[in-house]
Amino acid sequence: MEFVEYLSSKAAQLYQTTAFPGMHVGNVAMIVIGLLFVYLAIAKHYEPLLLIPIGFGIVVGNIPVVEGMSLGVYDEGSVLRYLYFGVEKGVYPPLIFLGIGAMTDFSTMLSNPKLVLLGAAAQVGVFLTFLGALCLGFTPQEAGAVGIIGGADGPTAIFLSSKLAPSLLGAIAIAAYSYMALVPVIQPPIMYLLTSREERLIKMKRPRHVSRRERIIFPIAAFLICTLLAPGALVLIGMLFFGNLLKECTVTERLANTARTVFIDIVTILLGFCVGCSTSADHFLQPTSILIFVLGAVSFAVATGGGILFAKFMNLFLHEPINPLLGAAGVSAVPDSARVVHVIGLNEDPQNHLLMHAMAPNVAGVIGSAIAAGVLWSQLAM
Amino acid sequence: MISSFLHPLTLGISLNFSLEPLWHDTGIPLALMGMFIVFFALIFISMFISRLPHIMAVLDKYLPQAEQLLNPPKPREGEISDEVIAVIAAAVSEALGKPHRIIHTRELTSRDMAWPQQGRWQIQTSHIPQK
Repeated sequence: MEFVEYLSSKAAQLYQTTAFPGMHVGNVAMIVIGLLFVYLAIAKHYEPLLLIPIGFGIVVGNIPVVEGMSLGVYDEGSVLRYLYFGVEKGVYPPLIFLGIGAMTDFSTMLSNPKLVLLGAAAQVGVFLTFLGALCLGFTPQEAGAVGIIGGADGPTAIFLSSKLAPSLLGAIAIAAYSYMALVPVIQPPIMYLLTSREERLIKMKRPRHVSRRERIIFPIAAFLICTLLAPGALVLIGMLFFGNLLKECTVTERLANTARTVFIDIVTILLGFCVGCSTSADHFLQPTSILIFVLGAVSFAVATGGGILFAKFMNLFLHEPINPLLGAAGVSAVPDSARVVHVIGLNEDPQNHLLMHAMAPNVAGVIGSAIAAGVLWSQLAM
Repeated sequence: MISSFLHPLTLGISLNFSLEPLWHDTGIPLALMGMFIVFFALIFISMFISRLPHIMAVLDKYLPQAEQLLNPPKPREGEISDEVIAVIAAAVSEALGKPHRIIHTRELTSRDMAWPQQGRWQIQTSHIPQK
């Protein structure tokens, strides 16, 4: 009898050292969401480079830790805590921008400067959502971090929320990356709703040749213009154009190659995984998270609509009209929104290839959202 | 037990909707200023880009382009030039007639020529000439 009691007490002791006692329905729900992300990435090819690290990170972050053990991202001294430092302090996003810069070809933008304005117009989603979040009771700092989801730029959203609203970082990052993955689902209905068939059929003029020297001068000049006007964007914009200069100057090919391949891959893995790990149910399953997701969707839709409507507005004054679909590429989900524009254009006319033209507002959107983040940070961090 | 299991899911959304924060400095004025700065910066960049060809013309006059930029470095021995790669891609496309992806190209070395030489040798010795 004593032996049975001994065994049962040991079994109970063993049970207490497992993750089961701390497992709540919220953790189970989050693990299911994480596995859904992994499924969507593998089976549907929705942004696999992001959704696999984030999805698996969500699963990892929702395994309850045993009391007294330092394991999760919120536990001082844990390994995950050290990795999460890069997210919490906004270290990873600028490093990602370096890689993006080394990948980005600005030549389509340089060949058609008026398309740059579409990248500015799409930022209306950021500021209208900022106002909407204020009305719903968010603090100005939180509202700024939520609004930037409309920039459709994951690293920028993480950077700004780490500076303005660290407590919302997980929800904002997941919302931003989810909507970026859902660009092919969210944007087309808005594009069809706001454009006529005749407008979608507009063909763009072939871009002019851009010399190497122009491509070298541009990142330096654009960096100076942006950061002198919005110094808050210094880190993001600086890294973006530094990466681009490495690519274009032709004498640092090794550095550019590293920045756009291994380097950005490592940072993406760390960023995605750590963001996923930060979504433990007790931190993530809050009423504000649902509001952030709703506002994020609104922000994204408004940004898409803003770009399209501004392109139509520009057409009132232009001799050579712009295909308004290009406005949808003003959100900086590179290159997904440009690809969506291309596909919608091809649906109407198989000879109308818009991809290269759409890359212009797309990369302008990256610059625009970084400037918007810089403005919000400089005004709200005080 | 059940309530502790359900603990994190006790979500209750209470919306405190108010237009009052819009009129603060961190409301509409900040949003308008933000949009203004974004537009101003990108308009400035757009204007700079549209002047870029003129700037280039002046620069080319006073600072001729470096040799390296005008004449991209020739491929090193063993490497294949971009033009030849384009021709290979066109040839593969024509031969296969379906979507393809060229993963790697390199110049054949004398060692690689062993197989074609062996093939030619086999073809040439596959028949015995009639005497």
